[in-house]
Amino acid sequence: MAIVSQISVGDILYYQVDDIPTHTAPKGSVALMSESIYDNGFTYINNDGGTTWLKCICQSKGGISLTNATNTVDFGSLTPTSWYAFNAVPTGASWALKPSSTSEWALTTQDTGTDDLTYTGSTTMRAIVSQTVTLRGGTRWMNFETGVSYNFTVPLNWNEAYTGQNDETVSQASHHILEMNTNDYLLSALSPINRQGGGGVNSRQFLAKHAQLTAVRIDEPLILQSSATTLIDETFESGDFNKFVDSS
Amino acid sequence: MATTNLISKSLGDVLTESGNGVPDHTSPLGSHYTDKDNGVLYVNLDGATGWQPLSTVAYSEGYYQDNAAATTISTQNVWAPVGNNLTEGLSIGFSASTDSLVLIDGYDGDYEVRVNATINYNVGADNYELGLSVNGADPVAGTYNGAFVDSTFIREQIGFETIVSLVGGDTLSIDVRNIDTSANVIIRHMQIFARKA
Repeated sequence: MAIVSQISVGDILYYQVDDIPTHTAPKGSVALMSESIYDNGFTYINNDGGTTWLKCICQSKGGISLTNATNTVDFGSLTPTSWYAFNAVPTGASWALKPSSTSEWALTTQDTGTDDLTYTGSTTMRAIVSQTVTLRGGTRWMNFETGVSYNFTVPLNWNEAYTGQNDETVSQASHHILEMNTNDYLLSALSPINRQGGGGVNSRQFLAKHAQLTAVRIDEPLILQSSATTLIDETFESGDFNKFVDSS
Repeated sequence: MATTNLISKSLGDVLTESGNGVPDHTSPLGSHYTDKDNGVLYVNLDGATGWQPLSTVAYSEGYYQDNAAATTISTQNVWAPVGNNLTEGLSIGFSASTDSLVLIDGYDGDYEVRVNATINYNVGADNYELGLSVNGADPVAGTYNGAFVDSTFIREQIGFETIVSLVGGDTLSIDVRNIDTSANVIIRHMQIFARKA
């Protein structure tokens, strides 16, 4: 890394640099990347008065929601422990794109035949993906897992809860960091685990009533001019890349 | 705190600035201001007193699913550490150590921390609370929530979200307590996420 130029602004310094900054500088100093080996550049800020520089990124966020779905589903018609798209239970439930979503996010219908949140940005990025859902049960208890599905694969992270025996309502939430590429998509997913026996069909109807799914960008990569390779973990401190496993 | 000790330097039509405190002064649209107290960089959005801090990149997550090992409670209404091994996810500025996320030196700052978990009945019919432990200390107010499980409704979800100030070497882990008895509980699923606020 070379410092191309610098100016002082009181106690801090502004640097023009040609690579990821690694030099010692006063806390709060700013490094602007230019004349670089990368196709893009970031602003970095010194976080400790030493050699720790944090990348600054622009905001990107998207969300979809399902509100007041009304069609119930027979738990007995589903295969226990299999995963289903939350918005396919019932089929045709209509989601809405959150108006605060930025331009890299869209409400789409991918090959799932259901509504999804699709990342349309041009570069790979990482996002914290979160969902909260509401389920309403019947007159027999039921037990569900819910999580976020990535490109219609089985969720890697999920949580679990029961609806009680009196048409009770329960809320569940989960979250996960994902590395997403252009046109990757997210959808809320549900897995029926177990239910109380007896009572007939009417007792085991449930309602996938509300859901909110959001994604907020937390990191984006440098792109090497020579190979178009993306470099997202610049410090290589840690971080195993966890791919979703599709067990279907 | 309002801007103090403001120093400005022109760069064409914009200013590069430094000072102490959250900015509340007027600058040209697009100007940059660094708060030297905490190393946060702001951009002026309106040519007046509207400033927006830039997001900086430091984050981590740890998780486990389908854990079957019980956490020992020992004493009613006393926090107990949850020692289940974390799988570390995508991470910048943290490492994982057994059941904790550890902040790496140099990444000091305020962090948003979010936890979602599922507790699993072990014995008894009890109310449990799950909370954030910083450096092994008991969870403080605003960092825990609770749920009830029994032999019928054996699994329920607990989630919470908070902001904590961390310095290098600080650890984030999970504690649980039984409000009603000393019966143990299983933390079946758990996801913890931290991001520089």
